[in-house]
Amino acid sequence: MGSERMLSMAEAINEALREEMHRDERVILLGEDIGVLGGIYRVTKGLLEEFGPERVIDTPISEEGFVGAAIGLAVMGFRPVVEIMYADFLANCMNQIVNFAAKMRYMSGGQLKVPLVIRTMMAHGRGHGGDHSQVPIPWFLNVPGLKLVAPSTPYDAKGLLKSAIRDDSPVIYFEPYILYRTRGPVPEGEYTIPLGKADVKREGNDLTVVAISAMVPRALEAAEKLAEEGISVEVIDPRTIVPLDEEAILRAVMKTNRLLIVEYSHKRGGVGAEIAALVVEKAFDYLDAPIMRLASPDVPIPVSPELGKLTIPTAEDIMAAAKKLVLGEV
Amino acid sequence: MVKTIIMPRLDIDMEKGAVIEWRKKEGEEVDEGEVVAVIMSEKVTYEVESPAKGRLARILVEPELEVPIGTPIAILAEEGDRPEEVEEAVRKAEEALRTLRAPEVPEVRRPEAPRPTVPVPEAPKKVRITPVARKLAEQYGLDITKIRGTGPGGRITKADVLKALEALRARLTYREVRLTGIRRLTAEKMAKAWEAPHASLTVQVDMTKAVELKAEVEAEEGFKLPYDAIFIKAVALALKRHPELNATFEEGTIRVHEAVNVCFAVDTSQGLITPVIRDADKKSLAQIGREVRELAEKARLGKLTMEEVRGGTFTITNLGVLGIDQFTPIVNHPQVAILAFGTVADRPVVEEGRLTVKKTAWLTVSFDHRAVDGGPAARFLMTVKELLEDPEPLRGS
Repeated sequence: MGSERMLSMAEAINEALREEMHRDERVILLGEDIGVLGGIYRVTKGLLEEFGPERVIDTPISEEGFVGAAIGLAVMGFRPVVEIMYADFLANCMNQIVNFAAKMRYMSGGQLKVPLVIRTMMAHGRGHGGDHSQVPIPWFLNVPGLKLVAPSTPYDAKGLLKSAIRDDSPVIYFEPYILYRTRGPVPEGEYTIPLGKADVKREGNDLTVVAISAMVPRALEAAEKLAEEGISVEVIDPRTIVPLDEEAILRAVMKTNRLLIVEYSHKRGGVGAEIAALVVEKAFDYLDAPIMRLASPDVPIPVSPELGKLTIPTAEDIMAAAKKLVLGEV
Repeated sequence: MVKTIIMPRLDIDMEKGAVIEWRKKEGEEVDEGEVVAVIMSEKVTYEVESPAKGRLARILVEPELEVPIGTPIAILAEEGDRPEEVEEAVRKAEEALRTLRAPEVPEVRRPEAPRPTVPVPEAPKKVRITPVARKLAEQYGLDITKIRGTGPGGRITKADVLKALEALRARLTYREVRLTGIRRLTAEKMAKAWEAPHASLTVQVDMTKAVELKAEVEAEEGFKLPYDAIFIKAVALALKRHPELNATFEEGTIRVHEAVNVCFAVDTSQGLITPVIRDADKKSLAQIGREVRELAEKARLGKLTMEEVRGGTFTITNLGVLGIDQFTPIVNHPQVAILAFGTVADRPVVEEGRLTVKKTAWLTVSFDHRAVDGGPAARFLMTVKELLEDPEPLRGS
């Protein structure tokens, strides 16, 4: 990599959108407050000015309507990128996503395709309450036909979004609010990251931690501290939940014999449950301890910031779970 | 505080134990950590130490009585414990023991359940073990019921299996020697040679004249002539007459060789090695003797060159020096035949109807039956015998 340019994740996403809009005029943006305001967290800042109101469309507060419109645009040859301001609002357009976007390619026998990207922000960690804090990745795990992307670094965010825009399947792209301002190296110039390829963020031998989205930096922080105590942790960021890089996870588990999955969606029926089942099915003989999961408890997220903290796994939680696993306490 | 001493668990699999000896009497004072009893489970004995300083207030079980782990076996009273507290503890413990010792109430006879037509297999003993530990144990053939688990609830983990494996290795009464160098090559060559269907023919040879010849050459040359030299020369001349045994067999092709290059086996600290005497049929006995001595010495010192071991067409092997009378050799692959000879010694021989004593040796030729038949091998062997019994042709070049 040439340059050591540092960008925030929000800036990296903005750059990916800008580059793809320059590269392909079929790429258009739709969403609430994305144009004049530039997004409530300024992720789409400057794009209206640069590409005009025909390609950066401020929509009414009508998720089902504009997602439906975007699906129609996609089927007709555009490559729309829709923003759903809060991931919680995906519930408002669930029918369009699940019954249309995900199904049309299959139900038309491949005659139609839906190259749609839905960007959305998971505000968990902000004290916005139960209906503005969810991390609803697992809602879509059970819907074939969708790809699910969840970056954890500015570099990955940019490369994955560009791949998502170029992909012919509908992709939901989950942005973690708590990492929007986290800066990281993003090189100048063109690059993409393929969907379905995990990244080993840290190598280790005693335990594999599969961390999702905003849990990745916390897992890395825990791994760093655990290393001082002689516990060697491998941290894997799947980056895309669907398609999932099974091989990377299985390979790591075969090496470390222990697995901890960290997400900040609710625990029940979560991504961790899916990965745990995968490992039991395909690498049972390599396990030396029960698989552990850390996730948000199965309660709606409270508004109180103090209570809210209890609903996101911390680096300390990860350290404690890791020690239990490695020291044979579970 | 009144303390109850219980039957401890010595091992994860332990269910019961018995006190085999009480080291303290009832009422005796004991220090913390002092041994009060010796218990035994299976074949393991263990000393039970007092948990505190005090008085052994009551012994609850007699020696040799087997009780489950956790059963109270004694009551210890500390200084300041009130007698009623001690009594209460004794009463509770005895109560627990009574239920344990209660005679079994005969079961009410129920109508017999229909016999299963298929024998019900006994459920295997449940062992708590992680999947990777189980796999590892299977891989190394370890009995998981004998591995002590240190995980939660005694679950056997990978680390436990590795530890068991290490302990097992430490107890081994043999040492493992990795096959290297000559040993490895010998192993490979022998395995290859063993693919050949072997047949062996044996004959006794009168060595009287050969021994005389040996002495003569030694007197002339001033060095000890190895028996190997005599046999090499005899074999070389016989091979000229029976070339089908002067051959190698590889990949379905028999190569009958022009040159007679006779290998002889040398027993070295590094292993078996077979230097070669080239054109042995053309060399004098003394010359062969000198070469044998030189090559054997080099073999022992590990100084042979490739040239000195390559290209043999036949091999002789001699365990006579070690006192062996007779043995059956394996061919030196890819050669098709090998001659073994044993010790030259005085043996009873019948000659012209009379029992007499002569110096003889036993010769055995083994051959690869794919390449050679019994007839030619027998004729070859008889020629060797003739040459040894009438050895004048062996002397010169």
